Amino acid sequence: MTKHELELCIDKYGKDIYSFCKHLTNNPLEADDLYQDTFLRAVVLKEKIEYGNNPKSYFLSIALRIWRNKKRKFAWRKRIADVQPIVDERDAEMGEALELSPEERITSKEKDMLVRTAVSRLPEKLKITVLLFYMEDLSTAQISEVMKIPVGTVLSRLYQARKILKKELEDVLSE
Amino acid sequence: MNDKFDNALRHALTPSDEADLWLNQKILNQAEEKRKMAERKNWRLTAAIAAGLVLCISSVTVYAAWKYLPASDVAANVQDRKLAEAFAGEQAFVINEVQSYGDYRVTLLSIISGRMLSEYPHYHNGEIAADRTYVVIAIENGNGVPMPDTSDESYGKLEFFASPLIGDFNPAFYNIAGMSGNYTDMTEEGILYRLLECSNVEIFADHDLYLCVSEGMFYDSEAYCYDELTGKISRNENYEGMNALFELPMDIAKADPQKAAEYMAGLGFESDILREKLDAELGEAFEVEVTEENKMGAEAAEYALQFVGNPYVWGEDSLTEGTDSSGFTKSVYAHFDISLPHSSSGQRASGMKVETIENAEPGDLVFYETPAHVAIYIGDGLIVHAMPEMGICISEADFDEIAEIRRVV
Repeated sequence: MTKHELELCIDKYGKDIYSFCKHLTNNPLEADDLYQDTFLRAVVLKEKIEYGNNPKSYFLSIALRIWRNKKRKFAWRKRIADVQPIVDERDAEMGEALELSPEERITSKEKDMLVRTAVSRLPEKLKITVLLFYMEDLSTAQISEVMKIPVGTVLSRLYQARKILKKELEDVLSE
Repeated sequence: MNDKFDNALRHALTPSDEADLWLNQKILNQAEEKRKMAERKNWRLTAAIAAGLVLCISSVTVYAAWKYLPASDVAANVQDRKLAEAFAGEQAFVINEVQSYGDYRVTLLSIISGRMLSEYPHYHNGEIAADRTYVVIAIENGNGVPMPDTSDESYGKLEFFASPLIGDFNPAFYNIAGMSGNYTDMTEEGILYRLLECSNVEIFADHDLYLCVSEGMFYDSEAYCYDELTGKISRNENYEGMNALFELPMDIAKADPQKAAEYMAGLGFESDILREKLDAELGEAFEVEVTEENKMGAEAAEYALQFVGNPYVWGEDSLTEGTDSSGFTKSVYAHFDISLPHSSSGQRASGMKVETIENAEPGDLVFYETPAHVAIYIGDGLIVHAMPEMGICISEADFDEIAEIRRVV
């Protein structure tokens, strides 16, 4: 990838990739690292980016791979330390404060935050699937490629995730 | 309803976060450097192939040492020129010993110990740890199938544990994970090279020193035997997977028993944890004490106890499939409709403070620091918690210094 191509990619997909990194890691510092590593990895990988296909899927699959590896190594090094996600404080406070009083009317902005908090609490496999589908607008076939799982598994994960989210967000979204 | 639900999700998850401008700028700058490095790497690769070809013609020996990159090249390949020079120098022990067990063939290439050998100093608790041991090993598939490149998806599925072990010290507790260890992997020509480093082990030269290489992420007590009486470490001959064990050559003159004792005493978090207090058992008469005030807490403690024996998995929160410490407390309390954040620091902000362990009631959360850890008090000075390597287990509450106690019910 040339410098110019990289610039184009950052311009075009930067926001999508960064948002994915942020929700995947739940931690702004980790998100910065992952975002940076993703693009830098893409630079040295030999594969040519096919503009006809979906380069976004390609970047997302790199990000996912790096993150999994990193989590693994991190677990090894900090064997005993529980490294905890730093949930965006705005979201977390908002989420908790609102949980206490579900009867109160909530604005659309607050609703979004509750949804994001609920998504962040999903088990990682489900969370990734939800992010790829709803945030990154990938088709189930593309998700199957990015996550290297069969389409059937993608569908069942989406189904499970929706079930959990529906239950958690029942009160919020029923209005 | 479904459309509405989907739309709400889409709306909430619309990509809205952007990287800082400086971050994008940094990426563009670093990309230039990466490209230059990649070019150099390619050149090196071709040179290595050429060298391999020449030798192939003249020799049929399979296990010959020339097959492997010398340790200095491995260090150079991970961009550590200073370490590469050290490995090429006289201080390094070149070993080239091969062992085949299970599905893999492992070769111990070289080892070197000393001060300030690397371009990349290792930081421990914010200070430079200058005195280090570096080891290079090569791992191959026994069936000749090339090992995956470290950037391949399948590399993520490979897990090897390689660590120096010290005779007279139980390897389950004293291994690379506790000795401010670290490693870098690289693959070339289908051979996986690992450069591992940890605190200098030369000070233990008057003990037997070993290097173990096994599968998995952590030390596997099944793969090796430790004789408490003689202090000897050996391979478990009945173990089916890979369990290579090399003896490390050491200059006995470098032994420094006093420094060694100090090192062991100060072994970071390992030393703070009183291992003998970690594995506690409940007496037959044990019952979680229930009083009017702590009914819910006692129920939570009782409920938590049924999961003892289930595994520890970092980042997860399943009481049956695997959980980390704060996932454990979160999930236990979720059963009682009490919602705790997954982070132990977040949990530490929940509920109200209990002054001392003497005042603790069953169900209280007990917090520890460095590493951050949380447990559920069950009474009688005991806790139940999810502990790495042990899974969900019962321990004495003072197995490590208690940082804080909180009551969340």
